Amino acid sequence: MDTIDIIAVAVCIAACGGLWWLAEHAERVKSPKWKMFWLCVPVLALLITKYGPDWSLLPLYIGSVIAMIGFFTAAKKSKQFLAAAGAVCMLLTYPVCLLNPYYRAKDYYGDFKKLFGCMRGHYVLTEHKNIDWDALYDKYEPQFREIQHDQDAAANALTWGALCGEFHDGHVSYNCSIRDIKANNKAIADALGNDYGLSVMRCTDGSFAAVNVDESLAKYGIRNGTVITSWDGKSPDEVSKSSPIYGSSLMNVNYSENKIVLRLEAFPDIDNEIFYSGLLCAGIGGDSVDVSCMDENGSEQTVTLTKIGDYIDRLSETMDILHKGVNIGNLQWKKLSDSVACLRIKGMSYDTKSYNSSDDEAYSEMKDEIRSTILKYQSEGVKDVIIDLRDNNGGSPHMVNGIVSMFAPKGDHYCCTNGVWDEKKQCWAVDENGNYVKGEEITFKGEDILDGGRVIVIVNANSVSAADMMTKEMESMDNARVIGFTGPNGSSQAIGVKRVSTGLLSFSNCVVLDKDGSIMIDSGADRQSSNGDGVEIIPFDNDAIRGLFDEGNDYLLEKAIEMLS
Amino acid sequence: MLDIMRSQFRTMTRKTMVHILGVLLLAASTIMLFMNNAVSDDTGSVPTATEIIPETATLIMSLAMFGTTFVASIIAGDDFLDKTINNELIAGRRRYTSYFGRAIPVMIAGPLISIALCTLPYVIYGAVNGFGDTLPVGNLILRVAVGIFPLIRLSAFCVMVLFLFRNPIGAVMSNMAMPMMGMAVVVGGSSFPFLKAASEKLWLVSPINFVSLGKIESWYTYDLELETYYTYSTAIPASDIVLTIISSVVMTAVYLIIGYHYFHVDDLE
Repeated sequence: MDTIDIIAVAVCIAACGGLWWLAEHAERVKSPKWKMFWLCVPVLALLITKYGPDWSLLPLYIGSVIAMIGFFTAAKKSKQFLAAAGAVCMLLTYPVCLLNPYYRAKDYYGDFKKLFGCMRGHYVLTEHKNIDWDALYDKYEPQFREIQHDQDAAANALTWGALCGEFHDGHVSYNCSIRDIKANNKAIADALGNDYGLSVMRCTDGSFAAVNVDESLAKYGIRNGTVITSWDGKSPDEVSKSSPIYGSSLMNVNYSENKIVLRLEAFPDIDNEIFYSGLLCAGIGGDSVDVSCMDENGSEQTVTLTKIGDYIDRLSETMDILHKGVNIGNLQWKKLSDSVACLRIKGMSYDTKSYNSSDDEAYSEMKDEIRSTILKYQSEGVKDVIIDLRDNNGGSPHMVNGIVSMFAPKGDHYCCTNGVWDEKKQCWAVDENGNYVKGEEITFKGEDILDGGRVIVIVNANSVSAADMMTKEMESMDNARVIGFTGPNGSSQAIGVKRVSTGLLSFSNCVVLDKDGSIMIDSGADRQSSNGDGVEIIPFDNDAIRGLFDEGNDYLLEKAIEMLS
Repeated sequence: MLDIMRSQFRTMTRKTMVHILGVLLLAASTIMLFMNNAVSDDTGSVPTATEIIPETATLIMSLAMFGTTFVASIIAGDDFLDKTINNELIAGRRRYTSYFGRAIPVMIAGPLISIALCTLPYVIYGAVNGFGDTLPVGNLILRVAVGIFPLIRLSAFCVMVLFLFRNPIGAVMSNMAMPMMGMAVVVGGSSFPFLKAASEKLWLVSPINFVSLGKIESWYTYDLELETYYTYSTAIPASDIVLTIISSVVMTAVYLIIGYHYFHVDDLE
């Protein structure tokens, strides 16, 4: 029971005690002024609260009204009886609150209906992704009804994760409220399962390999790169698919003592989902699992691995190793060799003023900084630049234009096209075929500051939104290459956010179109993003595993340097 | 009783203090609308009256609530200061005529003044900058019409407080709590979790129900030039209208009964 409610009931009971005494006193003094005190009890009952009224506090409210009736009576005994009856009624509040599972119940079901209704009304990719809202409602409504009945915050987190996953949109995600972070994180951690001392990744050749392997598995001959042929008798990707959160990305994980919200997001692009498809299997099993792997002699062996902890910790570590970019701040530079420097872009945001501006010129200060750094490096012999976009969670497209314009060949370049807002219908305008009407094209002028130098952009499946746009623009430039183990995320429509008491939902809410009027970048029902076709996929093989997990190197960065040398 | 009511209405129309407060509140609300426009609009185009309603209505409505509290506290309260009520009772008037002769005019004039205070600023603003057609006028009128009931309840509350305190200054101070609560929710709801929770969970019976009626559900989207586009939902569900009316009528009765009961036994010193 909330402390403030305990205090409210106690204070009101004490007030009833005061009324008992006042009944006698008022009779002696014979002044109506004392009557006013009988009105105070309901006021106290309503005001001493932090989260507002609650049905479980009904005995408190009824008790206060009973006590207040003393206001209308003159007889001392009646007043005292009413005060006592009110106090007894108020006392019932304690057992009612303690025994009632719906005491201060959170409105998961109501919030689901609000969020779902809002998204249904404003999601801009319904046609593009062929979303069947009625089917989704029919599927999830009973689940949220049950969550409401059970007041199950953990199930709420997982169910929202699954619902968001249905959209295969990197911009559709649910964040629980602060009060539910612990349950949310525990639910996801539990869903990830047990740690058996390794993670499993799918290699480019289709095989599965052990990565981030615990030293204790050396006795079984399992090391980083060991080929895993089966997990509890099944193929690793098949086992992964049995996970309740399969198809969800946990790539924004920064898991630490329940301070960070673990968030489930779906992979918009099927290729990215396949790349990570082995990861979840390594947490699935009981106290022990039978793992078949190839030994050093090339023969298959089966070992029994026992649980040594929770998989969430190892998975977080694995993702950190896979995704870590150059370890410097946003828009910071690092000279990698005599001829190569690296610009790290963690988010497409420079400062608040420029972020809230629609003018590319708002980024002139940022461009001046970048320009002066490049000129300084050029004076030291630097010719080529690596731009690290890994784990870039997006931001302003105008900042993208500001940066890309500096490296782009001279001349006009296309960025993207606005939709057209229909003021009358209060929605994005569509033509007779149901396609969004094209608005103004956004372009920028290239500067070619490197003057013939080359640019390599490194991306991963977490390079999303404005980073997706930047990838698309860089792909089309002759002097640039984009590399990664996967393509970028594949989501570029701008987002809207709806907040309710139990969490908040963000989803694609603003239309961003390509030159031909089609939806820009975001994958459709086929789950193939139009972005990333120009990305040079770096094979995830034994060399990559050794470099990343044994030697602790930034394998993709090394590859980029190698390409430039 | 009718002559007491007539005298109350006469005082309302002739008392300078009422005129000054009315004009001040109207001026404050109107200036606020024009200033809000100056601060919030950086696109160069001046928003019309219906465009600024969603953003400003709750604040203007909480200001308008002061109209009711002032009318109740100052007009009827004056009769406690100059002992008019005492003289009426000495002259043989029944207590219920003195009580309801004041309560009824307050419950008529208070809501009318508050409604005027929350609509006139938009009329003035619209006359200068245009009314536009962002929101359907019918729904807005319905909201204002439904708002009369919570205002009647507020008037009854003010009358109750006035007859408990028997002092216009004390009553003004106490009654101001209501519009102040409304403003607190509008301006800094998250800083007052109780008020926020109460206004959301109990908005139908909350004293600031009137302000809640000014809250128009909105959603916005934007394009790549950061031009913002709003969609509004101005309709009120029929169930909310019915519950607002029922809760207002019930609570009005409760407040009037409490006030009259106290006045009935009061010795008036």
